[in-house]
Amino acid sequence: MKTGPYILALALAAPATSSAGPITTNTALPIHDGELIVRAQGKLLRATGDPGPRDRDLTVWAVPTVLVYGATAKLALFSVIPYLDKDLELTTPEGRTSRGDSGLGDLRLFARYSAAQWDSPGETLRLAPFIGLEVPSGRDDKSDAFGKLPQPLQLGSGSWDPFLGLVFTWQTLAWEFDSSISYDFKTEANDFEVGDLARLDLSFQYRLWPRDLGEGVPGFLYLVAESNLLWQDRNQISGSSDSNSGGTTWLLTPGLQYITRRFILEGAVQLPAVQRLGGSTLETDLIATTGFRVNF
Amino acid sequence: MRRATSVTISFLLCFLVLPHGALAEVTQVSVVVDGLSCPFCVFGVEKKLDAVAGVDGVEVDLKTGVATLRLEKGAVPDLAAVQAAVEKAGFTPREIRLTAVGTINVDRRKVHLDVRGAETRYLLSEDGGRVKATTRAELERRAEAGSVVAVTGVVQQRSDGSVALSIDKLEEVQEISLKVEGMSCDKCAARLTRLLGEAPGVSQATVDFNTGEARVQSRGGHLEVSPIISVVEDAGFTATQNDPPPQHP
Repeated sequence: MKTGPYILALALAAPATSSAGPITTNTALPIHDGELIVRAQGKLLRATGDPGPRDRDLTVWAVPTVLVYGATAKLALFSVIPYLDKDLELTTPEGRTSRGDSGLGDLRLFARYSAAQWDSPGETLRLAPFIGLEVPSGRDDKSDAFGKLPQPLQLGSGSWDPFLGLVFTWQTLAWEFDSSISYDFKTEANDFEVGDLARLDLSFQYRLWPRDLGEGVPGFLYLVAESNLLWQDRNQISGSSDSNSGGTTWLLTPGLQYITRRFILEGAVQLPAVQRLGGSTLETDLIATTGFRVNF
Repeated sequence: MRRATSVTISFLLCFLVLPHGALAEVTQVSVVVDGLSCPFCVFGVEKKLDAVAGVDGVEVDLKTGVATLRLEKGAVPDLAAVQAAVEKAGFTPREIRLTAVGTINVDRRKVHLDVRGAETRYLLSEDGGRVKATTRAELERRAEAGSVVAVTGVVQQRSDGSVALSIDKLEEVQEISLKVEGMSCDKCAARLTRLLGEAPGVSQATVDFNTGEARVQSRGGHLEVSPIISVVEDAGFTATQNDPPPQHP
């Protein structure tokens, strides 16, 4: 079996900061000194449309849990650990069968530093670089009746992968704009190296309700529109480039978000607008996301 | 700019040493927070400000970005800590506004507010300087009369080392002190404090169970003694007016 839609599997566990802001990407909004934020999401990825005789059909459930700690007003520390359930159905000479695994995936640890901020009444602009490491905490040697699972179906990569990026946020009382650019440097493990991943994310949130701000601190209902542009290099198997991997995916994401002092509820659907993928890589149908965040 | 503000507030600490009197001499502190633009961020500001010593609660108005601090009875607000709290929440404190009660004095052509019972002096105006919300002549008249006033404004550090308080609002302060009899516990005093505070024209009230003294304060209005005594009697106690404090010549 060739590699599947690994590019989107990566997106499921992508770094997601947890102060108010985008649903599928980062924000530079502050995490206050000593603040703890817990964020959990439920994600469903469906990828079908295999033109080949195996008629592959991939379903991935992911529940990434994010813990955020404000070390200082400028430095925030993040950990993201996803629970994954990967299931690939395919046709074999013996008939229709299923392969996959479920359990904890790779742990992502990263730090974000607020390098610049411009505050004015009811408005803030912030710029924050982040850097982190994906730790191979997920199992990467699962086997079934057909032998060892192909690497993209494993829960973990087995490799230590650094990543870095830069996020810009412009927030007013009426709307918020976020832009994030990041790069994941993938390394080799188990004779397999996932292609490096670059992504450019944009997010715009517009306050639908309340239309007019009264006194105090009302809850906000945001209409969210996001764009995720992902490019991934081809995978390397035993030092050879895998033509059935890598490529470019552009996702458009409508969503809704309700924000109060203490919690955020949100939901969004990532829909592919463009998919130029290598070889027989499966194309994504959608990624549905719901989640909440609570601060302490 | 932020560093200058920090120095300003730190310096203000040296001047803001308030007594733990029955009636707080700095009655309200509010801070304008820049950059505050979503509800989820407000939590951090509230949490940090609420942890400042002497602060009994915080109310944020997101639209204006103003965090208003409720102070504990007789508390000393640490303005440097207020500023630091906002910064630790990840935002920028733009200005700190307060209301201070004291007397006006003219010293070497400068008009000051000497906060009552404290070693705190705010510059209200100097010769030729602009005075907001009133006139220099009016300030000098009140200084001559020895009036107790409440001044609300923004505190600012000046290059000459003094601390200026803008006069956005100036109100005459009148106080009545009563000797209350019949209270049997702290709860009686607390209930009477609430009732007196709700009486018409009363800006602030305190009742001390141990001494049996009730003090009510009016700002910008005029209090009659008899309605205040009626409030005490309606609450089931008796009251007589204490001798008023000596007036300035």
